[in-house]
Amino acid sequence: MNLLGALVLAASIGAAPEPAVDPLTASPNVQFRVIEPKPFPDALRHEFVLYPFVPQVGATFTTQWLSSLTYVFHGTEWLGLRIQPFWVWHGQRSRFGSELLSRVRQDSAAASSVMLQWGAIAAPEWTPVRGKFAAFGGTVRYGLVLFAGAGAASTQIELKTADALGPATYGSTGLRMVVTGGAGFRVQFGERFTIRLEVQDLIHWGSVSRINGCDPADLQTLEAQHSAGQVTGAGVSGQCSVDRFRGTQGGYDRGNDIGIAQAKASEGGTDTLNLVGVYFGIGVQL
Amino acid sequence: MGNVALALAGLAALLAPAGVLASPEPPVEPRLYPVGGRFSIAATLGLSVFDTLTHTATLDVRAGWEFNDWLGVDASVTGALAGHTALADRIGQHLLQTPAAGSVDDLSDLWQLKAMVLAGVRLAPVYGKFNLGPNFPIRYQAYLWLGGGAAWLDRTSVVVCRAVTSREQGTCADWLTESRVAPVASGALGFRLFTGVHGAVVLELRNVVWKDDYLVGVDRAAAEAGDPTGQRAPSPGFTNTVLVQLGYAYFF
Repeated sequence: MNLLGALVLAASIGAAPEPAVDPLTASPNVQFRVIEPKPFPDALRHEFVLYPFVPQVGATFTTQWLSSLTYVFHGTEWLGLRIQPFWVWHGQRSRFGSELLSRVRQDSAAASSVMLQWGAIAAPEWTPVRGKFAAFGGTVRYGLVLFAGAGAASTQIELKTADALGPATYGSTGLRMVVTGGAGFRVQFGERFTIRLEVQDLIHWGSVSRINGCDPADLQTLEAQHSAGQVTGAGVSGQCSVDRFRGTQGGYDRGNDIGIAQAKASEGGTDTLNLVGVYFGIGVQL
Repeated sequence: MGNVALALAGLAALLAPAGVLASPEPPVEPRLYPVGGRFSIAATLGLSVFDTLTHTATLDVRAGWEFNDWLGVDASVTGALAGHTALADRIGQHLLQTPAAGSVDDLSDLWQLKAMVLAGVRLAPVYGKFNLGPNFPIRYQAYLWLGGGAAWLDRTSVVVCRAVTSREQGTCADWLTESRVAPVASGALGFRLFTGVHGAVVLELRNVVWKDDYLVGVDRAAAEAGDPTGQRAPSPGFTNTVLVQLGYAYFF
């Protein structure tokens, strides 16, 4: 307001009795737009967003829940780069998959049952639309965020469902490329805090040809050894992790997984899988 | 004289404490498209998402009244086209290709929406705008809708076949079919993107929930012989159908 006073004072001292009409403001072809500057600029700032619980939506054969700590570098007000590691801490056969198995004794194809375990993606992030809205007497500023990118993830497959014989068991199906796309809203509170609500699809594809590094021939050899009484691991390829089929887990003999793994690795076929999650995150901008 | 008065006013403003005259909040633009106290009609097309055993397409017509800018009610009539997904058909085919020995339970979430009437309350606490390009501001309202009603449902089993056509090909001439009317609950999260004083594009994510109902302990051999078999599931659970709807609303 002091500035306003100075302006008025200066204007009054220099004011002419009858100021000339500005030809620009008088022109019907000229419009003025008042642009409010962003109160909290994003350019060249770093943002860390924690997504503590990301539920999968629309799961068919598997259910996966994950967490993620994402880093976003905002290169400009509109463009950024996100590095997003994630960890799938809950992965199991879905209710529908279990229903198929128990009611009509049908199992989903191995290629359709692969689950992500952990991974990371990198993706450019674009904020094409910014706006504000009034809600409950206040003003909230937000941005519509779009992103797409790629990365890699470790994958696994459920071998045995949890039942009276023991807990669920899993076999590694190796590293896979993951591509991703997502959209959401980013709301800024004050200079440092953000809240994000996004929907993101993690897409991966392929077949199941090895489980715990063992191909069908390795697994056939191991199954013969298991039937003979001891899984020695003799005669299998070097990348086959024989130890993953030894010992017990919750009283369940892991050797029983060999036959299941052999059947799944021999199935063939490929599938493209989507892990669509709802990401609700809390961020700090530095 | 006028200039002297103006100069004094400017000097006073310079000397005044900044906090006295400063306005802490930016000026707020009044709503360009108020909806309070107005009737509306709308029509939307919907498609189900996250389909597992069934897929659904809907057309609904709705009428509403807005008590004020953030609270309203509306009622809708919905017609739907629904069917089995390819996955559901494959499950039935594979089951028929196995010998009809022992008993099976039918699958859940197989009821298909045919028609529905709903009534509910809309809470729209958010009104805002964003810009599509430099000179195309979009005013919008975001709302949460909660309500209920009744749905007309059909069901075709993929487990209980009463006349097998081909065991080898897994085809059936007479799957068990049922119909019923069931109470439904529905919730929606939606946006009205105003195109003018009288109209808005409606974009909505809607969930419709009804109680499931199916047979368990079905003797397949008895079913294929046309004999009654099985009993209703004691705890069938609920079916959720998620629809993405797009339409247009007109405000009188």
